[in-house]
Amino acid sequence: MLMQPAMDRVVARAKSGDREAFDEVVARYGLQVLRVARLIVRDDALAEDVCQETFIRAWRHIDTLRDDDPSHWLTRIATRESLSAYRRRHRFDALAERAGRFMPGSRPASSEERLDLGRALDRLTSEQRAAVVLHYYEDLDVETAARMAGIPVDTMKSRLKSALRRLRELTGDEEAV
Amino acid sequence: MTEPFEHKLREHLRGEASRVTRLPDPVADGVRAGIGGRRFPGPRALAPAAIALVFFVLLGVGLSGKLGGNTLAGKTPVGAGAPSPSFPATASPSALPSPPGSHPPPPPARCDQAKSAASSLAGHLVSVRAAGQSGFDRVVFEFTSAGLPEYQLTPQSSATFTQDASGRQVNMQGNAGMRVLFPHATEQGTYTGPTDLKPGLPLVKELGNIGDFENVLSWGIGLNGSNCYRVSELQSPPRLVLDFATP
Repeated sequence: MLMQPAMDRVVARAKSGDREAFDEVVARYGLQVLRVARLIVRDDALAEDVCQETFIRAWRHIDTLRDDDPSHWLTRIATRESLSAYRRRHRFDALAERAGRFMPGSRPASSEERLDLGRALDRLTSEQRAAVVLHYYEDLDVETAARMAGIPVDTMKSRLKSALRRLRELTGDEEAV
Repeated sequence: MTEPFEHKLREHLRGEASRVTRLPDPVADGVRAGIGGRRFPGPRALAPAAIALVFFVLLGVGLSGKLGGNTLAGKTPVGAGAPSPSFPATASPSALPSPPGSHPPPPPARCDQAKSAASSLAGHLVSVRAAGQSGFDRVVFEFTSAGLPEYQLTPQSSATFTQDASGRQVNMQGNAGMRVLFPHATEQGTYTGPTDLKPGLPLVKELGNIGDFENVLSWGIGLNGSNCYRVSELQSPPRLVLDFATP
């Protein structure tokens, strides 16, 4: 992701406590953060809450920003904030996922049950979806995506593998196992 | 792992993302308020701000009794209005979190008991949060999409609360308090957050569950100073929002 020429100076000002500079950071990266949040939480209002919380949290911890380009740093905060917000909102779903109920992905979808990719993404766990968003939307390699999500590399690989298998099953992709 | 499927997935994600075309103004406004920065109200925000300003000026010259009982989002907290503390005439009553769409003017502040309209709707609490804003501390009770249940707000002159069912005394931080009662609600099964929060704010010092028994849910708020407040009801998701003006 390319930075606008003056953004490194804006970030430096924000790091020194300049709120108006941080306002420019929000204007520059707000849409990116909102899109990541929307892809993970699948809800407009919740994504907006996540976006707002992400920037407020970013401001409070701006001393932890090491790069001139805050893009990855903000994506990491947004990803974790999205997962927390989604878990709070969908606690019952999360319990059901852990218990293995309401998970029709154990068999291939029949032609009548095939879903489009959007609906199939809705059916992933939030952790699987975050992995997919980081790797396939943000184009991060597995190691960086794992660091963003705060999980081991092997866990990230496993989530990506299971997410792809489930997406193929739900969409009736011909290569589904 | 099939290349075509991964390609299709990438394309789909980009397509989904591209449907989000701009950062809504209330989100950026909420961030500004959340970090305590200056507010830069745009044309859309100026109208409610101006209405709020006129309202508070009228309150100042003694017309509050005639203008009390303002509403938000179609619901009216009942009970007489009381003298108003000094709240900033904020353009956005939803700084944290932010609902989509335009915002009505903020409701008046009050220092007395308030009740919502009677309702038998069963509420399920999802989260409780507190945040410092520019000129006030905000407490938000968020419920599941089923809706905002009936509530009663009772300011009190101490931060000691009587726990429902057990009758035990609970001392919270602060020298004043607010009892928030939901007579047809519970947090069992839906609320996973802490039942005692110390947000470290200027005015809101502590929040704690003081009862969840037979579908009667109570929370106490320990306050340091004034227990005058402004109450708002927001939708999508349903939220009860209490703002306490900071000195």
